[in-house]
Amino acid sequence: MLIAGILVEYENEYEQEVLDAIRALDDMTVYETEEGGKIAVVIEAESRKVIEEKTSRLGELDKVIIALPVYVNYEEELEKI
Amino acid sequence: MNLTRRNFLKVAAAGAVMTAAGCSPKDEEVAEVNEDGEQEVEQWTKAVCRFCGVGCGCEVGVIDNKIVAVKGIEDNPVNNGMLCMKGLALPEVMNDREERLMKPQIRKNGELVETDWDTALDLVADKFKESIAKHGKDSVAFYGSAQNYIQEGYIASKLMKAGIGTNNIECNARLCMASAVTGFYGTFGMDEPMGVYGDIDYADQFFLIGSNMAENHPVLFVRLTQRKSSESDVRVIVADPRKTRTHTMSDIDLFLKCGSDVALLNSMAYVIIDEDLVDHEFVDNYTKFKKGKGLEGEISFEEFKKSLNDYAPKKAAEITGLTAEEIREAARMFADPDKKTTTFWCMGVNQQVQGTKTNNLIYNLHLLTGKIGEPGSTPFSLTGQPSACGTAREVGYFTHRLPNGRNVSNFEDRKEAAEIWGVDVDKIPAEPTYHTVAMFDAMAEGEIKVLWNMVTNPAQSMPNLNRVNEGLEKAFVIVSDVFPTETIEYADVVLPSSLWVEEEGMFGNGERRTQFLEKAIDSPESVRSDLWQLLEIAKRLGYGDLFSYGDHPEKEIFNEYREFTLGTGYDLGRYEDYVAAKGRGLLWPVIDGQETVRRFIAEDDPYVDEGIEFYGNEHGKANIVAEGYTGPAELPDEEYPYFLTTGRVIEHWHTGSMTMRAEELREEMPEAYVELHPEDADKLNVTDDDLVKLTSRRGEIELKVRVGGRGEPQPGLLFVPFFDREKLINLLVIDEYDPVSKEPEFKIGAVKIEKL
Repeated sequence: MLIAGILVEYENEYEQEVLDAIRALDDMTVYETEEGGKIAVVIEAESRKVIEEKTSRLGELDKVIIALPVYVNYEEELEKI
Repeated sequence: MNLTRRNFLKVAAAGAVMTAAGCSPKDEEVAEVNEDGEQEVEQWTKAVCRFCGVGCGCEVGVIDNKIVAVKGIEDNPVNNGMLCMKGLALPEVMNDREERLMKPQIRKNGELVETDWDTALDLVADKFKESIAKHGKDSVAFYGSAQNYIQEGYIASKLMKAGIGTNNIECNARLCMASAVTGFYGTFGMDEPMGVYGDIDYADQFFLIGSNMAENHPVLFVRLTQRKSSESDVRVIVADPRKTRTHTMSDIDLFLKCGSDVALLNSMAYVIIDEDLVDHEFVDNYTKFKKGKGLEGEISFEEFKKSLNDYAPKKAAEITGLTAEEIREAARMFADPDKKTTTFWCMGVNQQVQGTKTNNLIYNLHLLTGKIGEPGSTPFSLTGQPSACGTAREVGYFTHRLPNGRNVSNFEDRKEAAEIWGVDVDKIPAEPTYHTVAMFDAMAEGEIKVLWNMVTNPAQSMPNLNRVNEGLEKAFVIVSDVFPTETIEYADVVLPSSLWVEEEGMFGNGERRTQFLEKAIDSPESVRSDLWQLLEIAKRLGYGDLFSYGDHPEKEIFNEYREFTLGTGYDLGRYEDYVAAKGRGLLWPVIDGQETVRRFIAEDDPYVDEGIEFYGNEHGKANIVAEGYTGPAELPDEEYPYFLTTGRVIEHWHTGSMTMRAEELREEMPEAYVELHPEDADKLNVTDDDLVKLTSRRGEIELKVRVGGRGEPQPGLLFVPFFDREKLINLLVIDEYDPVSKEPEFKIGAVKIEKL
């Protein structure tokens, strides 16, 4: 399993709508920030392709400005080798 | 805190995002982990991404000599913590040991067999000596890579020019950036951009020409997207014969005909003058008008204006296939005096026989409108490889070059180089020998007998491959590389090279930023760095005295190379300055340890006392160059009625020697295809996955059809990516080249297509 950290920037006045929309998606954990307008979304996925697809879905959500990958961890995958 | 390992990794991932975003976590677990400083890896080391020329700063997480994680560096001004999907694949590529070249090999009875380093290196040295003794110094050659570290490119150049005494050295940046270099010299008298990626954050308008930024420079495209999202009136013009993902951001689409860029740009200049959108004060103070090729003659503004008479929008419309109104609208938008305009371009411009002049004409637009030298207004030539600038262009990894803008044909330049290298000036030949296409021709003609090819894959990446392969078959070929490639099929000796952060080094990216990469892990046991290989061969060839570096050669070599840079405007800092600045690097010229953000501007550039000075030119001004449209080398005709253009896809980097080994990337994009416009597909009665044959005057290939995919070429144009070694599109590609830069015209050729 890969674990990726995605930065999601959104229009701050729509915070609740954005958080609700993201929480409705599968296999994502939302970590809020004190500042607002930005959150960390952690994706657990079998492959990088899934991370890419989920990141794209985040970026396409209404009121989301952009979703960017920042971090990826392969530790569990490498343990399988 | 009692977290499972999985939850700990999730919290660490969230923490990395928070750090990159400069935010404080609400979540207690994230805050606690951040405060405790507990790490999910044994160590983090700082590096620069191995893919593309953007130069994103990244940290590499290591456990037990394996790379387990990668994250963007938040305070790196290139990527501000972001990474693209290729960057996230770095651990996967690094940990692929199945197909990795692990031991030296030599060819015996037609087969490559493993051997030890001494045997392999002795054979290489013997072949060099034997060829030089029998056929002269110019019978041996070196072909390197802009993926080499700066130190490696420098030592390769020194070995050939100061050691052996031949100018038979080229680097694969000839294939992608040479026209950008000659464009810079023609206009500014010096190489590389004056602006920085940070200009994106200040620009009101973007002009993207010959660049599919969304797929090839994704992090910069994201920055552009962010800029457009932050200001509602930010606008984008995209000029390209093929609709790509980059068009998702465009406000004006210019689907111009292949190779008609010169006509478009001249026509935009015509409109700018015709509608008096010229910044006359800037033009009067900071520019000179020059005749084109050779730049031998100065002309007046009126003469320049007259040179554009053939490019009135109605006339240019006939060449470009655009409407006159589209051209006028783009010119007006570009020149809007209340807006700051940044232009980006890449291979679509450079890989043409008109590449140099197209670069010059882009600069003309910025100079005529004064949209240069202030945040948000800059022309910016993008690069394709991680050290195309640092290793190839600055080091002078070419037949005609010496470091930092010096030329072998200039006695004073040779003298300076000879002094630093400790050789007689006559050791460095005064004439360039072969540019890249000519080098492989010389092999086919039997003039070059031995080639050392380092970390590049010419048997896939060169144009007109049948001719190239003829040369590779005839010569004794040494290949240093990481994974098996098409070129290794022709190798007589294979030397397994270290990959990326298995050794320390420096890269120079497309915005003049030199960055230090820390060593993160050890190479596999029998693998050696390219630098080590070069130094060992130098010793075996008897040049040990010139290459007697101590325990830390990377440092000594960099500081020796730095001597070339001082006082040239390309000034680099000391090795220690870059180690201290790891994670962000420094923009040259670096004076007293301080970087220069924007060149040629007094506020930023210590070489300028007041205002703006384009000090690369003796007259201190930039050249506005009059150049005319001459067209591509090969146009469609009755026999070959379609244009062919080639390029990249987001999943794969160049010839796919690394990215085709990442299972997911390979599954996502397993094979090359030919992309058609729906009208052409109807005409040919083909649809997705139908098999067709493409034929040019040079070769043929069978490919599956793709219609309505991620890109859409204009009618009459076919697009084929070149990453697939099973479908070598470069068999068909023409090897005509720009007469100034000698860069081949990969982007334009004529083919026929038949349904099978």
